[in-house]
Amino acid sequence: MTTSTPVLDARGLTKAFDGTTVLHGVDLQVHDGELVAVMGPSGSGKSTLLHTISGMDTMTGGTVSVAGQDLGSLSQKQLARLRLTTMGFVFQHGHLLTNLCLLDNVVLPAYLACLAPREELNRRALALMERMGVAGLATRDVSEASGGQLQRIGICRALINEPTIVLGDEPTGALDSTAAAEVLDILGEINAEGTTVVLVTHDATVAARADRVLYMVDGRIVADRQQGRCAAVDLERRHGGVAAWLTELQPRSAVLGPV
Amino acid sequence: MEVGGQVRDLTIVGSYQDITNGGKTAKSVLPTQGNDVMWYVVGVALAPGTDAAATAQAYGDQLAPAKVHDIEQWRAQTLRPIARQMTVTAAISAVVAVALVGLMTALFTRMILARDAGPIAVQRALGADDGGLRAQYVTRTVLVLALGVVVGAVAAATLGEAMFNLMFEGLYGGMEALGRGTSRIDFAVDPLLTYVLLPAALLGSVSLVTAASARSLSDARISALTTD
Repeated sequence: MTTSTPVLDARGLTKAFDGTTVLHGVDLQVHDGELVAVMGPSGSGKSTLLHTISGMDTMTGGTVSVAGQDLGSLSQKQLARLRLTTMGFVFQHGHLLTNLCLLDNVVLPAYLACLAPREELNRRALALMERMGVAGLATRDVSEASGGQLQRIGICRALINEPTIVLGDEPTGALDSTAAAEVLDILGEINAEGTTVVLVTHDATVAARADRVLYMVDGRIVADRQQGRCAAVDLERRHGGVAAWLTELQPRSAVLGPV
Repeated sequence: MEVGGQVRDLTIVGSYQDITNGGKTAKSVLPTQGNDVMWYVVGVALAPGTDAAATAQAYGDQLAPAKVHDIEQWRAQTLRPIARQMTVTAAISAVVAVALVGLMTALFTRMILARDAGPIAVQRALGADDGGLRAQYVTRTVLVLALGVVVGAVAAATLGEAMFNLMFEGLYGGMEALGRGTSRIDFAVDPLLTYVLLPAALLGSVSLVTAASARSLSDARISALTTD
């Protein structure tokens, strides 16, 4: 059991939309350097949890602190600043800005944070893109890259401000199995270097790479296991049902195609 | 036209601008019976240094019941009500124009924000401050406004008077009167009002309306772009 101060500490977290409660008093502590996967069926509140613990959505009740900062006590401006400098985000569809080239998309969070001169930011962004194998796309438009490449660009954007914690919302959800594996390798490397990573995912193969797996049902964390692959598969079978798990794997099988 | 009991054909060969008389007027000099004349107007130019008031008084006494007026007094009596109405009309037009610009700015800003809801949500999620995002929209709108004010001021200063007179001719004389030169109203431009106060009013209106409309960008959330 880790005893250090958690990077992310949510207690009694509640979120309701128009009177419908989506998160029911969630308690979650994530410690420095952990790779945590949050699983669960559609509508279980995974993405809402991610949006709420990052301050993108306001919580209805409870407390959340990130890197020692209580989100409830921060103004909108302070919250935005905390998100900018402490958290990195990887979304399912990349969500890159189409009016910027790929390099500028990577630079954007650093530019907003005003942490260094533009030339320095460009150098830092290009170094990240080089590492992710997408430096050759720097001046390209968003429409000129594949889904896997865009997700790598999204990871570069998430890392540009050297965040304490990277939050991923279905980061491989829109990728084929090869691209998904590459993206997971990259996220694994980032975690191995000491960055805390929290991934929301439907995919048991993603969760299999995590060293801790949470399972959510109806806005509650119903299981919290410290193992990797076995935990993910076991939790999915136990709480999601074998049929759901097999359904989840079907697209992967389909990649091979009929013989 | 019947003149002295005789019907005579008159051909109008020219007209001139008369804002008090339907836009344009033609005059003719004809031999008439004095009894039928409604009034005479006699212009008197005084020698420099002559006391206008005393001379007018003297003429009035000698030529009663003729009315003798100083030309300035005549001008004030004839044109002041029209000038006053035109000033009020211009002021109302300016207020309505500023209000319309504000209304159009509000609608346009909301349309742009609706179009940009996705990118705004992404930037907010990454950590962009709402104030900074709002400032982007205000800056863009004000820059467009500044360009519009410059182009508009230059166009008004160069083409405005000619276009107004052309419009005036068409308004009173119809299509056939266009370009005849019957209307000639010289603009008395107040530089402070035209080039400072009105642009400032537009700037204030547009900036405030854009900033107020852009408050709704706080509603753009990444959760609207994703599914759980």
